[in-house]
Amino acid sequence: MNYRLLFRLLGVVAMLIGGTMIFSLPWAHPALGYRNAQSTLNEFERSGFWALLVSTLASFAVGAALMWLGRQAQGKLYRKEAMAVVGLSWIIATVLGALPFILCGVERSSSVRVVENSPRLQVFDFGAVVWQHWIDVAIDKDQRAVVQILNRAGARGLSLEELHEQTQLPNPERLLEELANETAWHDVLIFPNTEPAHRGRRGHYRIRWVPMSWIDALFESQSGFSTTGATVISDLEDPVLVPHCILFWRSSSHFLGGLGIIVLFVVILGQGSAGKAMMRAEMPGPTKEGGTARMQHSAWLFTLTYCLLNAILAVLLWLYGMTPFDALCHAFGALATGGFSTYNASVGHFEQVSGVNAVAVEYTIIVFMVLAGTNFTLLYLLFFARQPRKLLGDVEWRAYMLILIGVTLTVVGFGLWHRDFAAERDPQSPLTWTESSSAIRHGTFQVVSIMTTTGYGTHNFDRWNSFGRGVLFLLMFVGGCAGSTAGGLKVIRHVLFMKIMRLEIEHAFHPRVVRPLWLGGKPADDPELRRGILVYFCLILVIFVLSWMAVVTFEPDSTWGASSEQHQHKLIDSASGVAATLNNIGPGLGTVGATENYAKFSPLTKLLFVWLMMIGRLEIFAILVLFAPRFWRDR
Amino acid sequence: VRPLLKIIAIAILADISISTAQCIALLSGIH
Repeated sequence: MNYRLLFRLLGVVAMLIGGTMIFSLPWAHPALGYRNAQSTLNEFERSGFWALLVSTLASFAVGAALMWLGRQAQGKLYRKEAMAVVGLSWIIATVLGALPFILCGVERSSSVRVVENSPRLQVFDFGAVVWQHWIDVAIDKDQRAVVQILNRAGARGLSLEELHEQTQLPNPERLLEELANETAWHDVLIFPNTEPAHRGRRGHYRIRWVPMSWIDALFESQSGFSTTGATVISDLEDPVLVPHCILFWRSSSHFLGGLGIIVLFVVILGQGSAGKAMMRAEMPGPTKEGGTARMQHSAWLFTLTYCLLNAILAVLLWLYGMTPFDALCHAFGALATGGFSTYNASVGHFEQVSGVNAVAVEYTIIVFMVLAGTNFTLLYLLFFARQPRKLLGDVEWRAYMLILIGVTLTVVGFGLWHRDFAAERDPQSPLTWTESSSAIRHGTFQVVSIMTTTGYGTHNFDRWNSFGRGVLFLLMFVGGCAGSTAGGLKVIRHVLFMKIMRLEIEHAFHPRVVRPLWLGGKPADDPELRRGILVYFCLILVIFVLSWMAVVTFEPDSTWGASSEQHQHKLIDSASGVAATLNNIGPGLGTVGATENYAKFSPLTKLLFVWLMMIGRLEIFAILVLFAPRFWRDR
Repeated sequence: VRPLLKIIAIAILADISISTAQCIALLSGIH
């Protein structure tokens, strides 16, 4: 292993991360970092600014130290070093990217959870570190009503007058004082003028919000760089909890992750016969030059295509009425197939905002998500070499579009039949234009969002019929095309897997017949390719099942709520959580569904999810090899 | 399947047009 070269390249990555953080700094200023009139504090976001500045300097310092260690590096970058650079740079990026969240003291979720249809509440255990996180507590009806109203007010809390007005009780403050005497509630309730923090909220009764731990920050950062889009932050719209500049950094990490993956794909997966078969389309670039020059040229072209698409989408979203901040953040999320939004209701938020053409926003994002899930070589050929035939004739892209259209039609059809998109699920009511148009829009958006592993949401698909949800769950394993920013198993692997299976079945009854594997009218038979596809499917299955069982075993039942009825969802929700992180989607079903987040999980499970996002993003091997001792020893 | 896809395409265009018209009306102060 050429360590000096490794250090130098990792140093460059750390410098790049620091350099990108600089672009998040200006959004701390109220003139730039705004969303809409309601959420603006009109104050300079000091905590976010300093957190980002210190993180930037830390990244530069780490970069400089690594580059110093790697001074006078010599020799060529072999496959082994390249793999080590990919795996380690992802780890470095995650750690450095987590710094702003911790330094800023972002608060992730309320420390009280209301259990539906039950006299019990769940309170966050501030004392525990790894294991139990939510304590079930029984309280009386009036106390429950007060806590519930206070919890609904978010981190802002309520003044005494508001508390009286909203609870309609004679003295709700006395009820809260009584509660605070109990051990479980002691750290949870905040009384007026007892704590200095939170601008303009000192005089309010509040429920304490849980600050992000370093595991939470790693989760958020990994989710950004792996373009997953799973979040632990419950309220993105309160700038006191999460400053705008930190939100911009969160979305920038998608941009970097997406860029990293298409460029690294060229360097790592484009090599070897299996890689070439998977990339299929000719790499753009001067063919007469050597391999490295051509690879560098392709990497630049992909970067250009990616940045241009980001810019076009951001401008379009801005024209539809979004603010530049929202337009940029959502463009980063869509093109990287990430899915971090700046609103709690994700893209669906814009349907409530007057002045934003929400329908156009959703359809435009659908088109760009489809593009982001397409092989970037084909996109390059479409836009720069004007060869649309290459795209339309590509086996993988055709299969990808076929699955997208087929699944969309079935999901929309079943959704209309089950009245999933109606305001009230009444089978007797007539089908209206609003319902059918929203079925087509939301159905298509959700299918595209899940299949391209973006994870944006416009509709709560947890309310859909079982068939619709089941199909979404299966789609998580399909993913986009190879050479795109999408995660998942990739369509080409499924196409090849089906073909290999067919040949294997024939081999069972005609053992002597040897048929080649055809792909797109060309023979693609290579024992390495066959083995690669089968091993990948097996590994994904093994990792999925083992991680699922780990979550079911180690995650406390209380994460799902206090009643045994809610605990029944544990099995399927854990499976969807593992699938959503392993395939880099973000939202899953149930407790990790469209309107939920990952904040409630215990730190151990979150670490498992961080690991899953990383191996899912780097297609397993780039991370697993880092744990093989021989990988480091041999030359 | 083709006629079905055509109907859906028309529905999508109608959806976008209505929304755009509403937005323009709102911005120009007609609404």
